[in-house]
Amino acid sequence: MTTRTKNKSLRSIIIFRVAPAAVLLLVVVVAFTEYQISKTIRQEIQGRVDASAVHVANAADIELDAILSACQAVADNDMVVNGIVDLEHRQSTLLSYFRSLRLPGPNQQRVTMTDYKGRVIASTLSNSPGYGTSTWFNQVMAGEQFIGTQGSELIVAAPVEYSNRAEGVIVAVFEIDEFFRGHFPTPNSEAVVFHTEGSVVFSTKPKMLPLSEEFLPPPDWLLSTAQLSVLPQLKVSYLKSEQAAMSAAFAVNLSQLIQLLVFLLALVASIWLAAYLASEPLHQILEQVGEIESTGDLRLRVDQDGPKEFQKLSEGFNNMLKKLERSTVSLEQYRVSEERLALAIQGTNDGLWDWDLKTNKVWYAPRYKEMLGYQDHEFPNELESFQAHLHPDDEEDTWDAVKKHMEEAVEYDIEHRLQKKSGEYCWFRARGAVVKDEHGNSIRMSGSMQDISERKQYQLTLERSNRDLEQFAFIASHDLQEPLRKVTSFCELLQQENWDQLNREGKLYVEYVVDAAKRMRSLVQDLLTFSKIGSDGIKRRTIDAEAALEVALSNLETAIDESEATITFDRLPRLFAHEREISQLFQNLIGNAIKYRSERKPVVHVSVASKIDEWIFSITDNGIGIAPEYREQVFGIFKRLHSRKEFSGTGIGLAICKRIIEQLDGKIWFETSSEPGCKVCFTIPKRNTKFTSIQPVGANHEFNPVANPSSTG
Amino acid sequence: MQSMKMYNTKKCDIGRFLATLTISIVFVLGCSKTRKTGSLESDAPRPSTESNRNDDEPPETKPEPFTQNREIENSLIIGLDADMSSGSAQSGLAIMRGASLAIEEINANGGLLGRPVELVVRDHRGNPDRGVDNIADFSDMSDVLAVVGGLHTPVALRELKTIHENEMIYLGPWAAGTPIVRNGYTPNYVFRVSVRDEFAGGFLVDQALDRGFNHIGLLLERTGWGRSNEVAIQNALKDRGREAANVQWLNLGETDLSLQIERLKTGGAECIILVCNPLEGKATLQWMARQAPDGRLPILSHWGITGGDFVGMTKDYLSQVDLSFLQTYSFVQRKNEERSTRLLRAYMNRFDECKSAHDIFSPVGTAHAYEIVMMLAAAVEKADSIERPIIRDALENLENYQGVIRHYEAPFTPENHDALTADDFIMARFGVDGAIEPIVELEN
Repeated sequence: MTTRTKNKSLRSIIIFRVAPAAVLLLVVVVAFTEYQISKTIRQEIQGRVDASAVHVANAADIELDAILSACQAVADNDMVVNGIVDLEHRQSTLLSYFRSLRLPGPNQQRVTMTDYKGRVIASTLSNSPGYGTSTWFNQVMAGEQFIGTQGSELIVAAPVEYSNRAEGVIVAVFEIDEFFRGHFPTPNSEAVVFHTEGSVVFSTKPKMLPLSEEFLPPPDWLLSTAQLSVLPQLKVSYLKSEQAAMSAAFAVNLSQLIQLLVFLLALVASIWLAAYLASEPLHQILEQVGEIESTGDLRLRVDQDGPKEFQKLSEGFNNMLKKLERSTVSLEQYRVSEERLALAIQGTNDGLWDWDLKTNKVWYAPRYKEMLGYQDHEFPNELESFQAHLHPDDEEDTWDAVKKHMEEAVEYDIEHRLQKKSGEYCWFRARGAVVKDEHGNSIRMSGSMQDISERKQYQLTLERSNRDLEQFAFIASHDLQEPLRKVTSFCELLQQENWDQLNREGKLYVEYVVDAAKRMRSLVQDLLTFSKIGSDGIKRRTIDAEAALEVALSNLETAIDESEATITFDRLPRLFAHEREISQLFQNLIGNAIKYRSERKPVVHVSVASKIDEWIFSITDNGIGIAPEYREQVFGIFKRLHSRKEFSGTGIGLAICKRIIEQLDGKIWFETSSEPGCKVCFTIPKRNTKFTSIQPVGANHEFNPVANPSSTG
Repeated sequence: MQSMKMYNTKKCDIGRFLATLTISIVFVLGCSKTRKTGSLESDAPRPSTESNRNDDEPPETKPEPFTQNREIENSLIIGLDADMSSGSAQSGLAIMRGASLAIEEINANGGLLGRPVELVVRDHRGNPDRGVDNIADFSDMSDVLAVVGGLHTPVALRELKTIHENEMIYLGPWAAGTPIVRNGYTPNYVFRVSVRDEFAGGFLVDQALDRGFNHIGLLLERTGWGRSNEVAIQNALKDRGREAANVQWLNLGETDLSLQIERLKTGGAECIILVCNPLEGKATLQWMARQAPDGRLPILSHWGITGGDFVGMTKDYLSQVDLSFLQTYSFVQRKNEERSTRLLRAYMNRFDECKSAHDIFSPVGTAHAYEIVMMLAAAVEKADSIERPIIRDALENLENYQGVIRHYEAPFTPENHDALTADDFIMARFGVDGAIEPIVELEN
């Protein structure tokens, strides 16, 4: 079927395959029905003919029985019995009695009474022949009744008994024709009564069936014959010509044929409609599917209209599309990941490893072995190979990390030293992840190894130079403060002890010196602060940014109060950083926002957005803003855009901020905003933070300075 | 072309409808009887069994074999044409016994003219047509001396023509119709030793009048015999200055006579003179017995009722009706003692079941038949010929004949072929044993 129906539309299949079969079936059914109807009508008519025959036979039987009974009653009449003996009585009474008789049966009745030898005693016939020679006579004389035919006559005879013996006979004679004519009241009925020996004794259509002819039913006539029980020698045959009989069947068949035609038309129309209804939604689906196929856009969906089945089909198709889309995305992601991985592997020259925890077999990539200076075959794929090359000082940390990773899901990202073939130890960064089975059991662990010995070298160098620089800056700052204190001390002495000795110019110069010394001192302190960032030896820890902000706001309390600033902030995350530095960061940035305010009261908002691997903080104000061309410049140390007279400050605040952020591997920048004011953004990577429960999005906290009692003054 | 269907008719002669008061269920109770079939030729005696007998049917005389055709070569034949099987079959049998006893006596004495005499019997069943045929049959036989007739006047009347056409001597031992003898034929071949209705009418009227019944009703069978008697009785009444209170007729075979009896009673009849044969007599008695006891009319019957086993037929109600009837002779009270006793002995010798005179049924039939056959024998001897005209003449000329019934100076004369007169009549009743007993006191 599938091959045969290939390339054919559903509609054509239904119309050209189903329709002929249905039509054929209908024709067969109708033909069968026609046959059955004809058969039934034929049977019905046959039944009617049968019933007519039986009816006539029964009616004739009843009448014959009645005639017989009546004759017997006549014979039993004592007047008739008396007539056997009394001649005078016979002639006077019997004849008039017989003439007055109204026997059942045809009107024309001939009653004869004979003596015991069949000689006529009395008769309504003028020339009654007598019945002594009739074959039945002796039997009637033996006491039996007789009913039979003789030529065209029906003879009914009953014995006249006296003292238990037949002494005479009453004979009633009827014309058979008259007798049966009364039983065929319908002139159109076609019936024949015939003797069992073959002679026709009566027929409703004499011309058709002459009495003299031996009865032969016409060949194409329906015939039913019933035998009389009172007179079994006679049979009644009812006839009906098949042509006449089947005219009714023909009428029925004609209407049946018309019905068939109507049915056929209806059937064809129904099939066409069914084909249309069935194929139309399919066509729509097919069109949409074709569109999806041609565009390749898996986001498209098929309309879920139409009948339930098509809805389900569309739904299924759509579900399939969804799955396909997801799979495609996953595949794409996978492909990207694969490419990235390949690039990463290629770019980083990482050495891959895969540790089967069950067998303790470890697959080391050739690059891994190469990094350690081995040929592939020189470094067996066993755990022992790794253990043997691990620096004894790093052993404990390494296995601790593995254990924590497996048990506590702490990220496995450690640095350790491995011994190369040459014998020297080199630093490697190892990262990896455990793979668990469905029961949560660790089955394997795989990862990569990166040679960081060079970076480690740089790092060590940098740390050394930084330490030197910081030492220098610290010493310089510290040492610079000593002469500065002396200048300041002596200037104060001058103002206290020799102030009057100075002239106006002298006094002015001293004030300049004191002012410059103070500024110098401020500069040195800021420089000291700046130099201390990242070098005070305090380790980073997980801190609450909100707490840091609050410390900053507390420090800025006076400025906030003075400027009547409104500070709002989102719910801030926890960060892995120095709390003092983050606090300093917020203090500098918010302080700037307040400091560089416009005529309006400052409104500052601190918000945070979470990205995949970093937080993006932004601090928006409604201040005077900053021209785009200066946005990089302002982060330089001791860079000022405004004179000291317009805005106080040393010009080191944003440099400190930049330095704090860079220490955390983040970035800081100014963003262009259509709103008046300024928007400074900075990022802090999540990598070194642990976020357990804090979700920053949507939370909004307001720092209300009014609520602070110190701000009311 | 002839076809036939024979039926054993089922007659429903009783149909009764019983209805309950609460539910209208109709039960049709019917008893049907299958018609008995017998040989078409009625000459054969009919077999019968007592168990088959219905009360409504006449009892049948015990069949006794008889000869239907000549059996003895060279015999002289005396025919018997009587009812041997129908309602009056007992009369036929009684006649046959009388004739047989006579013939046996004749044969014992050497026969007639040196030839044995044989009785050939034909049964006419009371049917005149059969009787006529029987006479014709006898006429066709050779050496038939005479035919002894039976009880039925209608049969005899219808036979007259054939009798005289064939010059057949007809000896009447029973049938009493006046026109049988006074038949208008010359020469008259009919001789009778029996009652003559003409005399019987007067006798019965006198009997009724003697008993004090001034209003006499008549119930007669609608036959020649009935009409013969009606004429006789009406004449007798007329002679005595009276009229019949009422005259009713009955058909042979008629069983419901309630209407006739009712009319007789309303007609003022104090008694009924009944003229019919046993079957109709039985019906009359039956319907009379059904009247209230004080409404039952005494019945003075002609003797036709004694032709059958009337006592057997009517035993249930015979005693309830005052019935007396005409008789001529009684073996119980024998008139001609010597000859009567001889005949009685012969009878008892011949028929084992007969133990006394009371056992002789239909005694008049036997006595009359014996008497008339013996008269025939005497006439044949006297004629010395078997030519019937000669014998007939001899019969007319018998003289001083000593019979069983009485002594006849001349039983028959050319003018009178009735041997008996009203003087020979007696009234009788059925005794408790069923025997016919003369009513003696009436004679006193």
